[in-house]
Amino acid sequence: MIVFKNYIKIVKGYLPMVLMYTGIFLLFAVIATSAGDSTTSFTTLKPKLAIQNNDPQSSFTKDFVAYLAQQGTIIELTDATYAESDALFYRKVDAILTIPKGFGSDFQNGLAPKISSQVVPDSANAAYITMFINQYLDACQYYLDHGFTETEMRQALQAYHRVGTEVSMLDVKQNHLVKAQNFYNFANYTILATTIMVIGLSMYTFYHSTIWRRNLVSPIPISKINRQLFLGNACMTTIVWLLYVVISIVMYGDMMFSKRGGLLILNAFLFSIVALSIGFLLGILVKNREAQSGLINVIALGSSFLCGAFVPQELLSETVLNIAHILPSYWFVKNNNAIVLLSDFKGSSLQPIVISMMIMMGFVILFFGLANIISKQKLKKQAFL
Amino acid sequence: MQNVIEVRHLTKHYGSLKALDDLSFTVKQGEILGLLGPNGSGKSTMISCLLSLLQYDHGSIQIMGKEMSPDCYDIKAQIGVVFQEVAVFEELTVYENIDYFCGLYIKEKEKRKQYVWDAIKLVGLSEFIKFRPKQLSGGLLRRLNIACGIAHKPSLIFLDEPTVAVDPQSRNHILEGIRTLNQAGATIIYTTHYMEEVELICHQIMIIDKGKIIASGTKESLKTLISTKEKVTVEIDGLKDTIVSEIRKLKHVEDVIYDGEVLYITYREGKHNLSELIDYMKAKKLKYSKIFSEQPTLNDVFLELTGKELRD
Amino acid sequence: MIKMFQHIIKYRFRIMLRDKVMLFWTLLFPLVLATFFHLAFSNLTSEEQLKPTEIAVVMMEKNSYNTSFIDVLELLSKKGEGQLFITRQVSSTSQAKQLLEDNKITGYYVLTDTIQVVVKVNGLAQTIMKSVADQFDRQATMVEQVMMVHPESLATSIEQVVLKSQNHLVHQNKDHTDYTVMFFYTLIGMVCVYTGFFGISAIQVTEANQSTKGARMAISPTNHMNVLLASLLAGCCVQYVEILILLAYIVLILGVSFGSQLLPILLLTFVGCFAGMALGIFVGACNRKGENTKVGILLAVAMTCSFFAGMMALDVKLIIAEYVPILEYFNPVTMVTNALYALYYYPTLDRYFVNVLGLVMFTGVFMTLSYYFIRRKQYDSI
Repeated sequence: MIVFKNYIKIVKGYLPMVLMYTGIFLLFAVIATSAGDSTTSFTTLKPKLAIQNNDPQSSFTKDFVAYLAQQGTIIELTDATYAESDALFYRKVDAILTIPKGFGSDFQNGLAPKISSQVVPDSANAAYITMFINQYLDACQYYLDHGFTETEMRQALQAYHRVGTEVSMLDVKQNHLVKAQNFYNFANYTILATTIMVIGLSMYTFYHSTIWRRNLVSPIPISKINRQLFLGNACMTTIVWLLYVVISIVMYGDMMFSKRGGLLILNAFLFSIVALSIGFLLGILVKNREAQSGLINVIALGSSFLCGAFVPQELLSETVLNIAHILPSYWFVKNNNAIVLLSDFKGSSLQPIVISMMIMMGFVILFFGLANIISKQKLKKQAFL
Repeated sequence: MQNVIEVRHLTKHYGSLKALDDLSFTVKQGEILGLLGPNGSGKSTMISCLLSLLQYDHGSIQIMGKEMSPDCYDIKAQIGVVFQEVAVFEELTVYENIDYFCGLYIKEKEKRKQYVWDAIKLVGLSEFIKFRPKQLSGGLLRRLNIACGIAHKPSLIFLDEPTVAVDPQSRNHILEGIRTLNQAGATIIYTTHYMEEVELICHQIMIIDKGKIIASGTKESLKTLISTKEKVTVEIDGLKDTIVSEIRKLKHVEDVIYDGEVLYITYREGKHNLSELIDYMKAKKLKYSKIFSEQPTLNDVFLELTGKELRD
Repeated sequence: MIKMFQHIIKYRFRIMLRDKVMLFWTLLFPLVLATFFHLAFSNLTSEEQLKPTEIAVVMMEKNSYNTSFIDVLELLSKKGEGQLFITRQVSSTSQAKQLLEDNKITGYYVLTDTIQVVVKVNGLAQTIMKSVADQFDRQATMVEQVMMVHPESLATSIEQVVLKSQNHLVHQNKDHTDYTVMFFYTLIGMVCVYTGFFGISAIQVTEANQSTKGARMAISPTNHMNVLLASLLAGCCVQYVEILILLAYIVLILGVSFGSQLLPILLLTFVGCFAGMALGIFVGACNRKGENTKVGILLAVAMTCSFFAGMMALDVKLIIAEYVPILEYFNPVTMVTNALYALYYYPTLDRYFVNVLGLVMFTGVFMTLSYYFIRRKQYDSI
């Protein structure tokens, strides 16, 4: 087991890097998964509104602003010159509404004053905000057209406010798992980066440096060396996977022990094996250490961007998703998303998930197969020397 | 002949450690000075001080009649250094490397071109001018390193262990090159562990240990410093103790050691010790298989003076 | 001295351009990253666009009220501007529930004696479903109110019963609201900081206490500050050209908008290069670790600065801007990003110039700090 012991020693040297990537990842995971809806009852979405009220004295306008405060969340903007434009650009607010001076009296006198609004053009939020503002003011206009006084109108509008359709939510526990889903999707990057890096670099040490020559002349048969190296690699992969499982349990507690949680963990394990096979292939193919480093980043980042690990799959364009099909990360992320939305565990529901897992294993066979063929060819050519 | 280098009372500490201890010496123009000393003796520190790379605590250093300082560009223009570590750019070819470093000294393009070619021929790298350092063997790399240091034809050259890990062909080339440079008028300070090289090319030798000069002079004068003058070795079996004691009483014999198979005799002085010994053994009808005599080497000098081997 | 300058610059160019590893990280990698950004974000802002939601409706009780509601839904499902829904009618709630569980619809209406909405998660589409139902119910309530308080107003004509819908808002849309450009801006900022890598390698070969090549420089009859300056200028030039290539790629090939002011962008990236170079010099000169370690340190600093400039998550930048805005002026990536954003979004140049000035001061501070380390001509130990 001397080769195995040696391998562990070498890999220990990469520990600081592994820890660094894990640290970075944790930071991302915390930020990313702090969003994510886990409520079980329905709440209307309240768009963020900034209101510049130039007609504060009018009771009509006061009522209108009170209505807006019910429909949306009022955000106070500071006085800074660029506060308004920045707020909209960064989506701190969804609309900036300016109520003109004399709005209340003009409206009641039939002068049809307009509220100026700055919104993100053609956005769904803009449409919704436009809708509920127009609905309210249309109602006011209706009452005024029918001879209501301001007091009568206010009373009538109370009845208006009381109307509310009952909304119920399907009893689904998967809302809780959305955070874990985001976590494991993000883990695509670090599982790929750390596993490939550790395996790729330690393979380099054994196969491309002068150490390989020592191996060749030693009394230990090559197949035994290869087996021990593989064992070492497998251990490393398992450790990296366990690390993330433990972190996810610490962060999301009991959720991870449910059936869906278990499926997420299994999916991650299978993906780790994929990463192992990629690392193995890279380690044999690529001679140059710096080239390996560059490739690792390109593969890990590229997969993460194109397969829905950083930007959700629903938001990626058709073309990108089609390209992504050839990358194993795509199936990993797809499965994470599907697992979280499972409503039952019948065979038909589990089928797409099992298929994606089988596709991932297909990649494993492909990469290992390639690695085997190439290493045999290289041995023939003695290209390692 | 004027003094190219004059060092007086040079002292330097690294914290509490005294690296250079009141060193004083001179180097004459046209000399090849060999600098010997075990690891950690202060050789590199002394050279760095001479080149004004290191600050020192006391003393004065004069090169070519002027007090040396980092701003003495006129003196620096006449100094060439070949460092122990190969210091070339991996991204440049052999020609480009030499041209680059020469260009720090020689500004005129045509003159520099000529100098670069002269340096390439001197070190024997004409066939390798388009090669990158990565493609060169150890010996060729060292030759490149030398070329980079002397291309501008300096009149004072420092060479710090230039033949470490070098194949014999390259080594000969290098030594020849140094002789050529010296014949052209350069003064050379040569640091090495290989006493054969020192014996071969150096006019003066200086032995340093623990920051102090413990001996300096020509190799002949150094060898007179030690008591051992000649060593004779005889392979002979079954010598009786009485014979050994008799041999000990022979003329000029300093010491005799016999381990049952080999007889070692050291002499204090004398020119015919070997033939007299042979006559003695003939007279005693002693049969021996091998006999040879060695003159003291610098290693012996060193060993006796410092108690260490040169290559410790 | 000019000849010396030329000599050194010529060779520094050759050395840098032949260093494939450095070229990969400073030129090729940013191009690849920009491509990834583009692919991943290409659909992002179009996602914000109003898209019709798939819904279902189950009429449990057939009456005129419910039929009118279905008419309303069909009106809102008409193709064209303002289409809110894609509606399908199903015959049972279990069918609708299955559709919802299979994620084929966002929610469904159950029409009995009231209108009920059933959804799966909270979101805008679900809120709009509720709002449509609310508005329908309200219309009925409103007519009731009028009949109670001012019945005489209904007598004139039947048209008066119907609610008129008007547009009470006037939209003043701002141009350039695509926020995904920010990620590309932070990328430019990061690449400016990468100029520091050339600074590190320049220090390595010029300072006697950093390498033997540096010692060679020190014993030559040249002012080592001049040599250093020449190397740094060469480094800035190379990186500046690489940034221009990146900019051209992002603007011309990927089609990301940087506004239309070319000259300010050129000036900004030029100043940004110097800021990155100053940082690199400092990292290179202030310690005696190996070149690889220094490169690692600069890389970590560049990543951290990019992170706080919002490259990985825009929210981080917002939090800093809101709570500790002064920190923005310690981060060269943020300053480049903010200046580019100012050019893109604002009509005046004052914010742009504030950030350019910040970069100039950043450069000055780090050059001054570095000078302390590189002015030495003799050392205590090498």
